[in-house]
Amino acid sequence: MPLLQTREVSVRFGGVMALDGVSIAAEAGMVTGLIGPNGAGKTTMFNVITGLQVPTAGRVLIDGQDVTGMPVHRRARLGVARTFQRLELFGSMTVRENVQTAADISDLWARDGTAARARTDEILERVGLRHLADVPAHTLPTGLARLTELARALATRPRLLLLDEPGSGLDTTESEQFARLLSSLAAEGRAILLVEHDMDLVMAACSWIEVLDFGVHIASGTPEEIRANASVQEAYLGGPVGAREGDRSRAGAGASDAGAGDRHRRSGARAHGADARHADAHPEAEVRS
Amino acid sequence: MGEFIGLTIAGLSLGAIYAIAASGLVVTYTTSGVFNFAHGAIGMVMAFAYWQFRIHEHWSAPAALALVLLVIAPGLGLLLQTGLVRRLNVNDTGATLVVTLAVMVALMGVAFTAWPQTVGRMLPLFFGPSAHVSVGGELISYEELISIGLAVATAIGLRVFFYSTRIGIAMRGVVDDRDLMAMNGRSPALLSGLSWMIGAALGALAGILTASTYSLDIINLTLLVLNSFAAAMLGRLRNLILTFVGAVVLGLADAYVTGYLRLTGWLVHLRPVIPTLFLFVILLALPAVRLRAGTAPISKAIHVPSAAESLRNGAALVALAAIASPFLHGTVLGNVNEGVALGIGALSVVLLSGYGGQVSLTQYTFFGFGAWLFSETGHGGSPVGLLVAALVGAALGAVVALPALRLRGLELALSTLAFGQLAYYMFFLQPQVMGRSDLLIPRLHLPGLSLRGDRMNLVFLTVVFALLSAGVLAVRRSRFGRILVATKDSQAAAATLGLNLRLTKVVLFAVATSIATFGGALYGSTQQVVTSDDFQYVASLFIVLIVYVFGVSTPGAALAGGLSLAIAPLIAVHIPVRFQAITYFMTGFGALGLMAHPEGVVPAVSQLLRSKVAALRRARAGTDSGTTRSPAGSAAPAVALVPDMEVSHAAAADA
Repeated sequence: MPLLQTREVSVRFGGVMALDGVSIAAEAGMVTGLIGPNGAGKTTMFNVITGLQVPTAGRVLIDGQDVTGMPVHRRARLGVARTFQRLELFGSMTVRENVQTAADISDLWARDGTAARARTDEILERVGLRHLADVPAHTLPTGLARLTELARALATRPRLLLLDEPGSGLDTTESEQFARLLSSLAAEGRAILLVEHDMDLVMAACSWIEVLDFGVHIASGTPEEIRANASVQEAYLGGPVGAREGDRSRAGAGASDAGAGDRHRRSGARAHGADARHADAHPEAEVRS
Repeated sequence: MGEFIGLTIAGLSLGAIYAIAASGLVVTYTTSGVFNFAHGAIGMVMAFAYWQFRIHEHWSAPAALALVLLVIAPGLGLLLQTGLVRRLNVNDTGATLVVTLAVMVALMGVAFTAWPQTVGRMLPLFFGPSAHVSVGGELISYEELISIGLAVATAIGLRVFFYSTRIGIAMRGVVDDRDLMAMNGRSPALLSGLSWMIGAALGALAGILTASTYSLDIINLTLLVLNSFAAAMLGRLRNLILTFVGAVVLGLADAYVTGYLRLTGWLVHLRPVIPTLFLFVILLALPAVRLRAGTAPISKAIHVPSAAESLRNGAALVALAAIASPFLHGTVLGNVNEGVALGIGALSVVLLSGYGGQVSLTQYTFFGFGAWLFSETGHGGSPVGLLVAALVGAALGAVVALPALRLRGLELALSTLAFGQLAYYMFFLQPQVMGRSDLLIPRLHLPGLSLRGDRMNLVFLTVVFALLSAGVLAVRRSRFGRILVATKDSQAAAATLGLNLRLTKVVLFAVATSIATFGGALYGSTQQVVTSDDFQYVASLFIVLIVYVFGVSTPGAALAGGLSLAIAPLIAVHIPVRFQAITYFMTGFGALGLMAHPEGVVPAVSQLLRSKVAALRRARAGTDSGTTRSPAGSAAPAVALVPDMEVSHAAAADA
């Protein structure tokens, strides 16, 4: 049984169906991609899975348990963790404190913080942030800030990890390394659901892909199947996905977002943190446009 | 029947004024995203401006009205929007509350200075006392009909504006999605400016109507914002039709309650709290708001002193108090005592707002509860009274927080202020509490230590402050402290990491309120005589603002805030009567200074001092060793590390 299942999930914002009867699944031990052009409802789906958005209809199951009406924090205790498209770092803390606070929250009733501290160090080492542990989070450039969010999510020992565009702000080499990190995290038994515009990263990291378009589930399959799928190519502004890989352009309308991320990355580290959350489109605007 | 008609018309007339004021509040809030705490204060200043032209300059009513409603009020609204509101992050509840509160307080200061309350002022009725019509034997004055007519006109005008004009439709678009409007090429800033102009004009109209029907009073007119808020909350601050319904319900409730009920005993002060009771009912009935990701303002780190550092600072403070106390006499000594006691209570603001990011506007109410609890249970000054005050305070804080916990910071803050108002009328003014006479409170009596003298009491209070602020800092450094800061920085992230936000907030409110009531008990023990006036709910606004001015994340700011509030009256007696609104100016304009230095005075100054000391050390190290290299760890590490980041990132992905 998949660790995560959504069954016929619908979300309506006013007159717009952000999600229309979407059923997807994510298996433990592998990275599942959730792709689609802007406005497809990917972030809305993450909000539904984590409980930030109550669906108009449909159910969410974690390990077979119906969590549709469960509060956000209780889902987290079941092992759901996420990162955010628009960064939600604890800006007034250091990188280490960000991760350690997450570890503290998941060990809230522990006698002391020893285990949490040990886990924090281990995770910082793992994602390669150890030497930046004492840097204030609000000064981080986008790519590192996203990595910090990943580290923070890992500190809660998640079984299901939802990553919302973790790759924006990474260059080609970094993104390849990131794909390897994701695969190794999944190999340890986690289910990872990855929303990403960077098709290279998606194709490299994912063993299964679900495709949304305007709130509708249009395809699912292996990366090869998705690459060859006509309706997917149609959704991405008519262009075949494969043809666009060479120039590293991000799929569809996402190209401008990711491009903005790259620009930010080059333009001085301090500005990055402040601009990061404005670089991406408004998640609700994404839904309504 | 005649009485019923008369009461109904009176209620509708009052409801009409509420409706005009509340619709202004809704228009500004929905379009600009900023709740205008100064809404009543704008109406108040405009009512005085109208008086100035109408009475002092002998203008005709239409001319004075046109000038105030069409020129001065919109001008003030635009000025506030372009000067202040535009620069605010609408998702930063703390900052928007503090800045608009500051405008409110500053406008009150302006009014107290320009129109000193030593002179009585009145606005004449528009048509004189004999202008009325007879309905079913009841005389209905033209004034009442005017208010109703103007409210109807406002409703129609707003409806036409929002649905039939291009700019009105655009303003509704902003309400739905600010970012989207910006993408479509409309300027939300322009529309926001317009909304502040309309809001200020409606506030002015409500202010003038209130002043001519009831009285031209600075405080009462300013607090019209609370009643408007209650009406507007029925429509969740968004829906104008429900806002009008809320306003009419409030007006009618006021009329029927005063007309039909004989308010005696503890209900004698029921009338002014009707809007508050109405508000609490709405707050309990509203569904919980959902958490939104991607909206939290980015906060920056503020230096947190270590345990050793905070104890050292505390010891220095106590030493200073011990050395200074022999030189203080009489009222100065008394007021410094009062200031330190207030500072102890104000530590609750640091914990609640500085660390936890929640804004409560009910500090003085809790000081009052603390003082009363101490007088009731601290017989002969027994420290048991302090303990009771702290424990009951914790329970009280949890209960007060409960109804609004599910809601946003704005509603929470406003409902705490409403609670303060409720407590003032329904508790402090009761004859058994302090409504009939002053409340006498014994000085705290500790075994083996006499605090009877004010000098010894001052040193004792300073010790308590030092220990408690070290405690507050210890909380900040603890796991719970980090979790608090996490909820302040991003509620959505904290919740998705597994944190129960409501429980965390209840604990936070309980602890913070416990500090406030504890401080209130010491305040009572220090003052020994308190009156209900000492715990006026409006005073809470001042202490919260002043702690923000000095730096809400710094315990030292609580002391500085308490001392300045206590000492300001001493300064005021030495300056001309016209400028005695010093507290208003100090707090109001001080808080506006936060626009430039959001961290506040104390952190800004200590940052400056630390960098000077570091520079001095560097200079000395330079002369000692012959090089200009800075010693490791003295400069801000973040800047130094930035060049490493690009490299480190590649390393990061290696893992």
